[in-house]
Amino acid sequence: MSDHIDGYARALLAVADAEGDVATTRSQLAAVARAVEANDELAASLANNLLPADVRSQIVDDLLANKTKPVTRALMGMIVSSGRGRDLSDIVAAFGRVSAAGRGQKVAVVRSAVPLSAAQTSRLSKALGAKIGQEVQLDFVIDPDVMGGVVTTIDDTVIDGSLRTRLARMREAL
Amino acid sequence: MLLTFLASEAHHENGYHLPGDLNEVYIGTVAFIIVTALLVKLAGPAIAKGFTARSRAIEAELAEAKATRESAEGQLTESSADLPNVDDEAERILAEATETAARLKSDMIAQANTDAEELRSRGNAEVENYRRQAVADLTNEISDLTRGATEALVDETLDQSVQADLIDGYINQLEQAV
Repeated sequence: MSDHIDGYARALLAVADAEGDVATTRSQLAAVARAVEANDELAASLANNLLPADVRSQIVDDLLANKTKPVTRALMGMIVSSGRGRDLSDIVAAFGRVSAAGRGQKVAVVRSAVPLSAAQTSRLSKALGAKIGQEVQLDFVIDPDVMGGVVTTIDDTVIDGSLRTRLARMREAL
Repeated sequence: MLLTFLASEAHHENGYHLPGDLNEVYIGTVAFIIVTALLVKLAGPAIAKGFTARSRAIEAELAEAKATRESAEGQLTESSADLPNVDDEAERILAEATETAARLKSDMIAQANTDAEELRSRGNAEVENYRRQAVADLTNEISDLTRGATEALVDETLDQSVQADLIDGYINQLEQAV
């Protein structure tokens, strides 16, 4: 993690902590970062430092108005208006790691084709925590490429139970 | 002697063989002796020298002929002596030539066999490579078709219930692995 990304992540954590709802803020920031990452035109606009900072901030306000908490919108505006739009995903990911580490947790990115139920989320969190010997913070990503099942990534460890990978293995076996 | 003979053959008027005047006989005899002596004195050395030279030439020719004959006899003897060697040499050369030809023939046959074997091996290897490539291509194609068909089938059957089952199965495996 580079210093400036780590610095931004800690600043976000400080603001979110001051607002009193780190988990919701982290979750919303992660969702927004994935949405921006999936939209090349939007990502390019937010990363374009030739645009005035207030214009980039206005794009964020228009995009997130009434869809996220004000603190989430303010933190997104802070990132893009300070010229770090191209590092949005990294900063948000670092924010997740830093916030999780502050609570003695590990971040587990969970990719699935459909959302997990509350019961499944609870079971998965406990199972992962038992497996790594540390409480985990789950970040969910809906990814149709997974087809079915789940792919969990914790740091450099990938636990792949996706249908896509099973089909690929079946193809290799053939 | 000649004079005596001539005198004995002569018939003179007096009925004797010798003329009546003996002085004539004497003078003739003396003259003959003188002429003969002069001849011996003056021409004798030249004649003797000629005879000697002729004799020496003949002797030289005889010696040369003898040497030639001896040389020829020597060569004949040598050739006769070498004749068995020539036969042996010819036989040896023939044997060597036969052996060389046989060896060349054997080498050529061996080389031809080696080349043929190499060509056969190379051909077999190429055929095997083509076969493997064809099998691999066919396998890949079947695999792709199978995967495509499977994915299509899976997509059609992946409803919420199946998705939930897949996620539950994943979590179950995690729980069992702990």
